[in-house]
Amino acid sequence: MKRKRNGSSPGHEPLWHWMIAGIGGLLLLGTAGYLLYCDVTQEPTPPAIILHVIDVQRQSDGYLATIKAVNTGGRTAAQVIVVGSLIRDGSVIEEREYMYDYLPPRSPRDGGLFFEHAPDAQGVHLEVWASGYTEP
Amino acid sequence: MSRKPATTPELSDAARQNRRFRIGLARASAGALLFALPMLMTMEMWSIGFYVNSSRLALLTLASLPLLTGLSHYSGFERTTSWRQDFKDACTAYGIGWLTAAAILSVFGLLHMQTPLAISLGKIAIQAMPASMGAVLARSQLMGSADEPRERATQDATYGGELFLMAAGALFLAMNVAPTEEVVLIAYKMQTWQTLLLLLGSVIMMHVFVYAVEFGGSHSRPEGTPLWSAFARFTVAGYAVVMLMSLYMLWTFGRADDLALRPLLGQVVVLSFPAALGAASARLVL
Repeated sequence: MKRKRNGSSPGHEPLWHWMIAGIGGLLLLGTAGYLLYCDVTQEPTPPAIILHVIDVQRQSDGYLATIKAVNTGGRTAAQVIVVGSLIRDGSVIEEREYMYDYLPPRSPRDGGLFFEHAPDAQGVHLEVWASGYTEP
Repeated sequence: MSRKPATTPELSDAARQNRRFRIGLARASAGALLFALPMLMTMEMWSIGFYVNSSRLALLTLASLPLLTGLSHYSGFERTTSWRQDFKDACTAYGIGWLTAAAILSVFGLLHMQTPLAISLGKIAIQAMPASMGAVLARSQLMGSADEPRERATQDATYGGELFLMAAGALFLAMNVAPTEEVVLIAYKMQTWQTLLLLLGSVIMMHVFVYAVEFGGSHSRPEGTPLWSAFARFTVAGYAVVMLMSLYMLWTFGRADDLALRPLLGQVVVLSFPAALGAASARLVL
C-alpha cells in the first residue's frame, strides 16, 4: 500500500500525543470493562419498585403529593403506572395516577399526584403503589 | 511580513507536527459533533442505555477499536504511515468521541449523579461510537486543502479494504436508525412484495451509486472487468455485509431477541436500506 511519508519516523511522535491516545484507550477499555463487569456481577432480577411520598404541597386549587420511585430490581421497567389513593374511614375518596416512561435500576425518579382533598388531613391516608410495567 | 524565524530544522519539524496534531484534534472534535449530534438528540438513544445488554454494549465498544484503526488507516485525522500510528489515532479519536458525547449529554441534562454509573456509561458508550467515527473521519471530511494535499488512501484499498469500508458505512447508518421504533413499525407495515421490492431496490441503489452514476471520486470499473463480476464481487457481497451489520445492530440493541425469523428478516431488510446507502456512500466519500 502506497502511503505518503510525512517526514517523521513513527516512534518519534511527541509524548503528549501518546498520552492523549492513552486517555482515549483507557476510556475505551474502562467503559467496556465496567459494562462487562456489571453484566457479570449483577443479577437481572425483575423490577421491584419502592415508592415514597416525599412532600405534600397546598396549591391554588388543590394539593400536590410528590412521589419518589426507586427500582431496586436488576432490570429496567418501562411504562410504570403509579397509583395513589386517598383513603378515609376505609373507603377511597380520590384516586390519581401517573406513568414513568422508564425506571432504570437504582435510579430515583420523582413524580407527582394532584388531589382535590388534602392528603395530609386528619383521618386521611395516602396510599401509593406501582400497578404495572412493561419490558422496555 | 515574509521573514521566517530562524529555527533548527528538527525544532520546526516538531513544531509543525505539534501544530498539525492540535489542528487534527480540533477537527476531530468538530467531526465527532457533526456525526453524533443527530443521535445525541434522539430520545431512543438515551433510553437504550437503560435496558441494553451491557455485554453487547461492551462488545460494540471493543469492536470500535479495530473499526477506528481501519478507518484511520484509510482516512484518518492525521497523516499516518503505519498501523501503529493508526492504532494511536483510533484511541485518540475514541477519547475525543467519548468526551464529546459525555459533554453534550451533560449539557442536555441527561446524565444524573444519582444514576448508577453503568447506566450513564452505557448512554455515553452508545454515543461515543458514532462520535469517534466522526472524529476519525474528520480529516477526510473537514480538512482544509491549503497545506495538506488531500490524500486518497481509499484508492489503494484492497478488496478486503473495500468490504471493510462498506461495513463501516453500513454500521454508521444502521446505528443511526436501528434504535428507533420506526424500524419495527415499518417492517410490520410492509407486505412481502414490498419487502422484496425494498431488498431489490437497496441492491440496485448500491450498484448504481458506485458504478453507474460516477459521482466525483466514485470507483469506475476498471477496463476489461465484466459488469457481472463487479456486481457480484462488490454489490452482492457488499449487500451481504450490509445485512450482517444490520443484524448485528438489531442484536446489539435487543431488537432481534425473541423474534421469529420472518419479522426478523423484515426488520433486517428495512434497516439494510439506510445501511446500504451508508455502505455505498462510504466508498464514495472516504
